[in-house]
Amino acid sequence: MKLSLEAFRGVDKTFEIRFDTKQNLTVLYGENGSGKTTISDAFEFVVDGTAGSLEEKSLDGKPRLGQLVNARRKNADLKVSLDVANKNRVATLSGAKVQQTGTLDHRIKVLSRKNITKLIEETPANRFKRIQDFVSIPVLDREETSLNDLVLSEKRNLESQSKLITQAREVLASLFEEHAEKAKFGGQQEAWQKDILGESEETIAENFRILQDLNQEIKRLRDDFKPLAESYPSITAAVEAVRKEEAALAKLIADHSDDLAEAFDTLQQAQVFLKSGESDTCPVCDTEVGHSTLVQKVDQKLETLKAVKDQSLRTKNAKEALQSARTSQQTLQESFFSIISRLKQVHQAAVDSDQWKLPALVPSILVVEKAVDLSEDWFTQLKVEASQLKPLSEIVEKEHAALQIRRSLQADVRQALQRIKTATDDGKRIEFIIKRGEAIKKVLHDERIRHANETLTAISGNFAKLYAAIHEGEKIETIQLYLHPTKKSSAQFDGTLFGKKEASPVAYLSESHLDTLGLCLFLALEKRENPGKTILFLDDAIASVDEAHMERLYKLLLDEAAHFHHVIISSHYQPLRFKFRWGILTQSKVEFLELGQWSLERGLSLAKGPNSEIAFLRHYIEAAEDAATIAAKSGLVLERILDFLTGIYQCRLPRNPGAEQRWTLDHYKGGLKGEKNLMTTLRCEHIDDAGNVSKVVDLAPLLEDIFSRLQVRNAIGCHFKELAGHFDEIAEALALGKSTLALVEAICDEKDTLPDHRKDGCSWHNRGKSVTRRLFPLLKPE
Amino acid sequence: MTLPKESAEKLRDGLISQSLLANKAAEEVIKSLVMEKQVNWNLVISKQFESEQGGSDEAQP
Repeated sequence: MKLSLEAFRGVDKTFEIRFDTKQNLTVLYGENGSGKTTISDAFEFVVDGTAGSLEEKSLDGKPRLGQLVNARRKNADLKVSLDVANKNRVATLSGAKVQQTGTLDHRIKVLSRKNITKLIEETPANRFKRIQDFVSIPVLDREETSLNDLVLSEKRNLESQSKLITQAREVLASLFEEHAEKAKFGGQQEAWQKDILGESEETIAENFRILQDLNQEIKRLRDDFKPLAESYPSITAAVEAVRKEEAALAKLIADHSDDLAEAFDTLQQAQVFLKSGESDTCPVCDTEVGHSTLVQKVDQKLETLKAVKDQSLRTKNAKEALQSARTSQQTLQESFFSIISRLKQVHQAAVDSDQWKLPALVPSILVVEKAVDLSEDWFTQLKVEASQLKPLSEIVEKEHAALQIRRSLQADVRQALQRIKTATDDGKRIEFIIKRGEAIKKVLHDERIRHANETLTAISGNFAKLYAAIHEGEKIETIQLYLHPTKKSSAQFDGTLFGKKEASPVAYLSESHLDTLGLCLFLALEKRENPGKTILFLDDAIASVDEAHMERLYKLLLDEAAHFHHVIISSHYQPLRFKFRWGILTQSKVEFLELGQWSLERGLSLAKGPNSEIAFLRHYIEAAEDAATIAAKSGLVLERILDFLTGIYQCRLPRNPGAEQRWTLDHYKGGLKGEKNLMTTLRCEHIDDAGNVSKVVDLAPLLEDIFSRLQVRNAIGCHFKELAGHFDEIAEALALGKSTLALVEAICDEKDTLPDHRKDGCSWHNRGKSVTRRLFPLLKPE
Repeated sequence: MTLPKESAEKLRDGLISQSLLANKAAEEVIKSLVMEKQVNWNLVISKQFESEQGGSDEAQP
């Protein structure tokens, strides 16, 4: 697995770190500020596209991802690449957004020191949010919500149906109040409703039609009565007019001979002739009458004849008016007869229906058989009897109105009852849906809770086992994660502690115990979800664990790492580094990486191992020029070797190593010299290719020589330069350097590696196929 | 997390043993849950209502 960073947080130029995934675990040691969290952030950035540790920090509103960019570089320069199991993912920034290319089959889970106890200290609701991915079955959550929504919606629907029923009942009560005959029904609304609905809709419609027809015919009779009434005097007047005009014409004709009519034509022609000429002679009798007299006479004759003609025309007109009046009257009579016939018909139908007590029609109506029977005398008789039709008209109108009300009432009652029935039927269906929906929801809910609690019980059992592996005999097995029995999305975390029930571990356990608890819970949870595809990064998460529990925790992590694709533990804790580095803790399936000090110029770096420092020391001794560097490199190599020796023999070192949290050469010196039995027995055997001991080196003289020269390192190789004037710097530095190399050559193999293995069970020997160094004793002599 | 097999079985048993849904309807619901399809509960329960109102359940074997 390889992680490459560029322009990312403290990394300016490219920094590449490889993790040996053949090992289960990588211990990434680095002092504060060396870039451990930068590496975990880079993992989260490239895998999840998040800002890692910056996600939960306040950045005063600045975009989090933008803050990942190295201070000297631009957003576009940032690039993080991760290679895992032949898959590659590259993440860059485009503006303030992450651009990820490539696919990965693995996920990253980071647990930081800051977050280690969060799961424990969270409120139950927030704790549930953090663990819900492990315990939730989203499809059940969704369907439970869906059923809940359905039930709520149907409950609202049921309320609406109930309101509809109430409203319909109010309408019925109001109709009953307004229309029911109290004398007949009293307070019995249902009996009234039955009565209203007793009559069929068809019967009411038929009766309504009969009355409507009867009413209509009476109205038509009334409407046509006046025109017919007026037609009789009109005829009489027209007859009189004809008689009068004929008499006048007869008189005129008697006064003038019939031939005047013919003369009229002749005179007209004469008139024309006279007007056209100046002759004084009559064109008919040739009498000299004078032209003007002749004209005058002709005009008089024509005037007389015109009066006859006009009277004749008036007579003709009078006759035509009479004829017209007769025709009109005939039309009226026919129409009136039609009305009478229809009236008789519908009246008979009404009488036959036996629904009403209707007065009979008047005799004048009953006797008429054809239109011509409607004479003036008949009409006079009808006029006399007309008042007798009024009761019929009133009854019909009254019954018609009553029936109209009844019909409307029946429709209203029927509609209200139908509404009640429909709403009641719908209500039954809705109640079923609500009841069944709630029952199904409970099945889903119970299964969701059962599954979650079963999962949580398994997790609880697992983390309790993990915790017990570190804190033997503390019996926190009763501490459990479980869902609150009634509150939704609430994860409780408590149990019996020191005899107190439902005790919160937060209140009873120390901070380091809570850290361990949090770590175990985290491991137990992450083991649930495809751990083989998970890379765990414990970022300085075990800093608070004391030394007494360190080895057990380490062993636990090593065991648990086998479940995951790879586990990385970053730490600034010196004892951990010490124990890993020098084999006090097993190195089986473990890779140890150390970060060097970070600087703005250099960025992140991996610290070089002791063998490379030895190579540097040889180089500087050979050059014999730089006393300070020789002293400084000697100091570094000695620190590593003495650190190793004091480590494997468990020498007593100060509890508090000082402000820098690291032991000095004097501390190591004191540690070794304090073990008198050890110093005298320390020896290293050199083994040849045939496996024989070629040389035995006692270490005590070499160490004593070195111890006597340590002040040189302090005087030349570090900052106490004021002492340097008292030394022959280069000679003293070379002496220290050579003493150091003598110790190296006595202990280290050809590759300058220390004998940090003890597989043969009797010595510390070097790694590799052939053993060339054996350091004795295996254990510190008592 | 998809619906675990054990949960699917327990849900089916719960729905059928409590006579909440007919066998066929319960099977269809579980199938939808397994395939993570949305269940139309209104339709499922309304059909169950009609079936129970009708007095006979055609879905029952």
